[in-house]
Amino acid sequence: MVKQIKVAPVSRIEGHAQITIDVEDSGKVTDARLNIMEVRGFEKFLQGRPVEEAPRIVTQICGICPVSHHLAAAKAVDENFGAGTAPTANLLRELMQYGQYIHSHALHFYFLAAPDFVFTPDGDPKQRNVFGIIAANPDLAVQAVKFRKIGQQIVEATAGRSINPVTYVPGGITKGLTKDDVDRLLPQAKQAVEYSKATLALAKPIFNQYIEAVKLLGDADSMHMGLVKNGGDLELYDGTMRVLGKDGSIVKEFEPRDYLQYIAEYVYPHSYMKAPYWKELGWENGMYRVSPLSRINVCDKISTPLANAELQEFRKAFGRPAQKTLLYHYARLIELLYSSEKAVEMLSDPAITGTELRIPVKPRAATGVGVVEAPRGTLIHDYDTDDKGMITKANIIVATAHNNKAINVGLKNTAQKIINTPTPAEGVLNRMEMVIRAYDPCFSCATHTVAGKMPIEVVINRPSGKEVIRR
Amino acid sequence: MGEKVKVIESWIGACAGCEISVLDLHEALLPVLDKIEFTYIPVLMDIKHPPKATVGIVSGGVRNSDNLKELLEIRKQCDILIALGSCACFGGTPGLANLHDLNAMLEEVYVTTKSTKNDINRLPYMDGLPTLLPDMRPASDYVKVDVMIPGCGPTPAMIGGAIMSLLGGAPYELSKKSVCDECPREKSERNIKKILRPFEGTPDDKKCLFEQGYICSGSATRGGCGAKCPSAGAACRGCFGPCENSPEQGAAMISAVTSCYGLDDDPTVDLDKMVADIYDPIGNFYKYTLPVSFLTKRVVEKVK
Repeated sequence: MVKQIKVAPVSRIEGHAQITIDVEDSGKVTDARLNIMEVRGFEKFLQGRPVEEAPRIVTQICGICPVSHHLAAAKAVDENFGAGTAPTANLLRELMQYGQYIHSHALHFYFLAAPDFVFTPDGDPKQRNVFGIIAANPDLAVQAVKFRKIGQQIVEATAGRSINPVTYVPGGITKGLTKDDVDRLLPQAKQAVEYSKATLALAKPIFNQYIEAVKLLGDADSMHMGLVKNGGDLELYDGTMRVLGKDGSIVKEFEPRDYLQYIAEYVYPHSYMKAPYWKELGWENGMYRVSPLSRINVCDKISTPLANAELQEFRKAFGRPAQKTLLYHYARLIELLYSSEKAVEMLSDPAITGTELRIPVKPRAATGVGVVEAPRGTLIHDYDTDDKGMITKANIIVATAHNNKAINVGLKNTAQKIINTPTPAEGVLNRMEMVIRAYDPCFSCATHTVAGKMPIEVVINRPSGKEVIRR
Repeated sequence: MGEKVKVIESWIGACAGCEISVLDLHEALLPVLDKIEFTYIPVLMDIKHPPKATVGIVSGGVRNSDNLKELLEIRKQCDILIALGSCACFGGTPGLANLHDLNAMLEEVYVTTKSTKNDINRLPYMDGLPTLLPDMRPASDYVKVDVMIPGCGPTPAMIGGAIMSLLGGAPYELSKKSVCDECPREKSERNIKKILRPFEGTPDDKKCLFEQGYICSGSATRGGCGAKCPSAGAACRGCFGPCENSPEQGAAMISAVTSCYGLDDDPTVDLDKMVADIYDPIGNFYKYTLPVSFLTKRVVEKVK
C-alpha cells in the first residue's frame, strides 16, 4: 500500500503550494512532488493590450517583486519601440532594483526563513514565525523592520509607489530624483550597508550551527544560470546570461534576447507551474537552477568591496559551484550587502539626478525581450507587437519556474532520507517545507499563468491513492 | 491590557502585494500587534487551519475551487470579514482573464507560448490540483463581506486606519472623494482634442494629465491613495475602483472621455474617429473592475 502525505498549505512562502509524498506502509518513500495550485493567465489577457501598459500590468503578477516584473517588461518594451533608453532613466531603474532587493531579501531572511533557525525546525509552530521573533527579540525585529523600510523608500522614490511601480514610459521614466531625494536616501542606503553587515555577522554562526541540516536538505546538484556583466561580475539588472556546469566550467554565455535557443519549458502533470530546462541536454538531464546561490556561483567576482570579501570567504568554504540548497540563505545575505553598497554608489553619483528622462519613440511591429535578475532568479519577459504597438503574443518565464525541477528532485531526495514512516512528525514535514523555503520561491510569480492558489500544503498518499495526512 | 483581538488572514487568487502593504506599515505595525494577534496567516505562520477569530482578512479573488474553499472557511471562522485589495473587492487585474474562454487561456499557457514544449498538449491534472472556475470573481460574489479596503495595493495608512477603527468599535469609512480631488495637478478646461498614448507628446508636469489628452481614470476612481500615480507623472489606472455611489467605473470613464472630447457641445465631432482614438477601452477603463462591471452581465428573463 502506498499512502499520500500532503503538506498543505506550505507556509512562510509567497503563494500557494502543496507537497505530495507517496509512502509505502513500510515507510519507504517512492515519490515526492511539489504541486503548484494556481494559474492566472497573464500571457493570454496581455494580448490586445497596448505594449506600453505591460510594465504596469505585469506588476500585479507579484506583490513582492513587482519591481522586477516592471523592469523586465520595461527592458522588453523598450526593445519593442527600438529607440533605446534615456540614460538617467536607466540609472533610476537600476537603483529601483537595488531598493527592491533590500526589501525582498530582508523580508525573506527575517520574516520567512529566520524562524526555522531561531526556533529550530522542530519548534512550536505557534511560535516558529516572525511574531515569535518579535516577542523573543524585539530589538532584532525593529532592526528588520527598519532595514526593509529603507528598501521600500528607495523603491517609492524611483517607482512612484512602494508596491506596483508606475513610472515606466517607453524609452524613459516619468520622474527624476531631486537633490533633496538624494540627501534623504543616501544616509538610509549607508545604514542599509551597516544592517547588511550586522545581518551577516548574526547569521553566519547560525548557518554553521545548521551545517548538518544544510548538507542534508533538498540536495539537487545542477547547473546554475544568472546574469554577469563586464566579463564576470555579479549582475542583477543587465548583462549577459551565463550558465555554469556542475564541474564549475562555463557551459554557455548568451545574449538574453536569444533565450529561446537555449531554454524550453516542460509541462508537469501535477503542477500549474511549468518547468524550464536546458534544451541541449533535454528534459531528463537539462536541470539548472537560478536564484542568489546561482548568481553567486556564476559570477567570478563582485564589483563592491565588502560583498566581494564575503564572496571569497563563502567560496573558500563551499567551493564553486556550491550546490547545497540551504546555502541559498547565505548567498542571499551576500547579495543584500551588494545591493546596499550599490545603492550607496549610485546615490553618491551626481548622474542620478540627471534630467535625461525620456526619448522620443514610435510604435512598431517587433519582438522585445527583457531579462533582469529578480530576487529569486532570472526573470524573462518577451512581447510581440503589431505596427500599432499592441501585444500579439506574450511569454513570461519567472524565477521560481526555473527551479521547479530542482525543487521536485530535492523534495524526493530529502523525503527518502528523512521519512521512514507513513506518519512522520510535524518537524520532519517542516523540514520538507524548509527545502522549498530555501529557494524563497514565489508562487505568486509562478502562477501568473492562470489564477489558482498556493500556500504550501503537504499531502501524504497511500498507494491506493487515499489521502492520509494533510497539513 | 485586555485580551488581544484574534485575526486570521489568508490570500486566495492573489499576488501577495496586499500582505506587503500590511508590512509597509513598518514601525507602526508593532503597536498594532500589541492589540491584535494573528492566529492564522500562511504567509508568515505554519498554522495550517484557520481557528475561530473575531476578524478575518482575505486578499485575492476567487479563481479556482481551492480559493473558494478557503474563502468559505475563513468566512465561517470569523465575525467580521475584510476584503483586502482590489482583487478581493472587484476581481482585480487577473479579472481581465474573464475576457477569454478558460480553455483558450489554458491552451495559451500550456501549449502555445513560445518556450513551451508540449507535443501531447497535456494540461496539469494530478494530485488534486484545484479546478479552475470559469471566471475570476471577487469575494463578495460568494460570501458576505463586511468591510472593503480597495487598492492595488491598499495604502498602509488605510489598512492601519481600518484595523484601529475596528478595534475601537468605530465604523470604517472609505474616502468619498475621487483621485482627481486629491491630485495636485492644475485643472482648467476639459477639452480633449486628441487622445494621446503615454509615449506621445511632452507632458506638462504641472497640468492635469487628462486635459493634456492622456487617459487618466482619476475622475472615475475612489480617492484615498493620495493621487500617488499622477503625482509621479503616471496616469491613474483606477486601482481603487469606482467612486462612492457610482457602480460602473468604466462607464463613468467612458462618460468622462466622451464629454471632454466635445461630444456634449459640438455636433460636428466625428464619432468614428473618436471611437478609433480611444485605444483599448477595456484595458484602460476596466483594468481592475471587469468582473464587477455590467459588461459581463446577462439579461435574465423572469420565470413565470
